[in-house]
Amino acid sequence: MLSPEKNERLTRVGPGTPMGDLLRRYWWPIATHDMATRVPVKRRLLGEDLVLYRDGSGTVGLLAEQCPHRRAALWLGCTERTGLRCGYHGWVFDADGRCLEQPGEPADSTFAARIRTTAYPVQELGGLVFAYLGPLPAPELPRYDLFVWDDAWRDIGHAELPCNFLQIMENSVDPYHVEWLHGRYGSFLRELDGGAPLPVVTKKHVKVAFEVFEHGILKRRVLEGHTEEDDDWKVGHPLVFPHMLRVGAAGLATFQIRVPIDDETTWHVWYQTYRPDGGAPPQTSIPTYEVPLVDERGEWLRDYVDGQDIVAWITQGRISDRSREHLGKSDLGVILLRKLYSEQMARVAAGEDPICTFREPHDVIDLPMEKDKFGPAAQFRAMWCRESSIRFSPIRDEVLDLFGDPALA
Amino acid sequence: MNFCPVCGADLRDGASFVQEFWVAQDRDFLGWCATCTTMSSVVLAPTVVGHEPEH
Ligand code: FES
Ligand SMILES: [Fe+2]
Ligand SMILES: [Zn+2]
Repeated sequence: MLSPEKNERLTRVGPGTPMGDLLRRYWWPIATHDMATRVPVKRRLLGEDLVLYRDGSGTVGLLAEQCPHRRAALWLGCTERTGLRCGYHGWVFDADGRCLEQPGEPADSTFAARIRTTAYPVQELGGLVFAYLGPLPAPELPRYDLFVWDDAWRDIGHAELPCNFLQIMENSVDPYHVEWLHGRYGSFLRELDGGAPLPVVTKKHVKVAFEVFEHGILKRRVLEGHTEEDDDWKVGHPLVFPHMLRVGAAGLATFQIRVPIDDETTWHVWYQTYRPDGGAPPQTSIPTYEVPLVDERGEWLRDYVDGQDIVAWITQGRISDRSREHLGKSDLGVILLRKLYSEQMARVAAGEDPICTFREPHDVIDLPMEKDKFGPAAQFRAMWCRESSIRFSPIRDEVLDLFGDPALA
Repeated sequence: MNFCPVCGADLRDGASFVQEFWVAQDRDFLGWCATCTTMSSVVLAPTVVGHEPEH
């Protein structure tokens, strides 16, 4: 168990909280590329209400939701050639937060020069819009490999989950759940439907190891019937600090990105890449889609692997009460992650950069990940297209085609 | 586990981290001290188990 104070410290993400201060040192996806348009939209990140827009000159801006004049919401506004005009009285703001116009004020007024609204830096990369809410100067936006490969196809799935980000991150250092949540529970549902169990996820874990390394925590495992010579142990796959899991194999690689909207809500982004041997032909645009959480009767979807994970996270509660849990030795990965967050919070409090802060411009950051996993490649891809969020991707069939795989039955 | 076994700092300082977990009869604690940055573990064991080489 964990003390209620420590639980609070690890889960509160708002301004002025220790975790909020730590998380503000990183760039966060705030939207998919197609959400930033001439029509301003409301977004929320780390407990702050914001408005995102793309003005007539193509500049993407991210401002505090409320207009500094008389506090109307700026999503009730119109984008101009430069900046965003508040819909209420027409004040105009640019992406740096400067007030460019106050049409109701006398022509000789210099009042506008004294008004500034909160504006945060944004950058686009790989089909996502990233925002930085921390102290300036902002570090470099990390160019992780999946965001920058020029010979891969991509799609981006996303969903808003009613729970704190930490319980989702903890799942990424909890390898045993695969055997049980997906192997046993998932197979149980299939049995009830007269189906056969899912092959790979039912295998027993012989050994797991966690290693803090420069990008976060590297997770290695040996499953029954495998050895330390297999990629699962030799290479492993990373939890990228503080917010991502990298998974996949056989030309499929995914970042699961956990974006804290506030203490009780998380924007989950499945950033998928498809890269056959020899590369993929150019893709004209990156499709985006919403991952549904419930079926037509309003029941949580849990007949596939990612759905099972989601339901486990959500049922832990909006903020899991860790003062009432009972951890064992199989939870060491989770404990290590909590310790890593604690250590990095202390680093930020001491005025230092936390890990995974990049101050130097760079082309690409390569991350380790298994290539061979779970048996034959085509079989793995078929399973992944059924069992992960890809099942809802608008380009699922084209992806199988890209690899020369048969269509799903 | 209230104090760092290495430097003696109070681990209830807010910034340090202590997590209890259980292994069989043992109560285990993993601690991280914000003062000296040591990670440590403490085991409250009802019995001490050794091993005897084959002979
Ligand atoms: S067995 Fe782990 S949450 Fe129930
Ligand atoms: Fe899972
Ligand atoms: Zn100490």
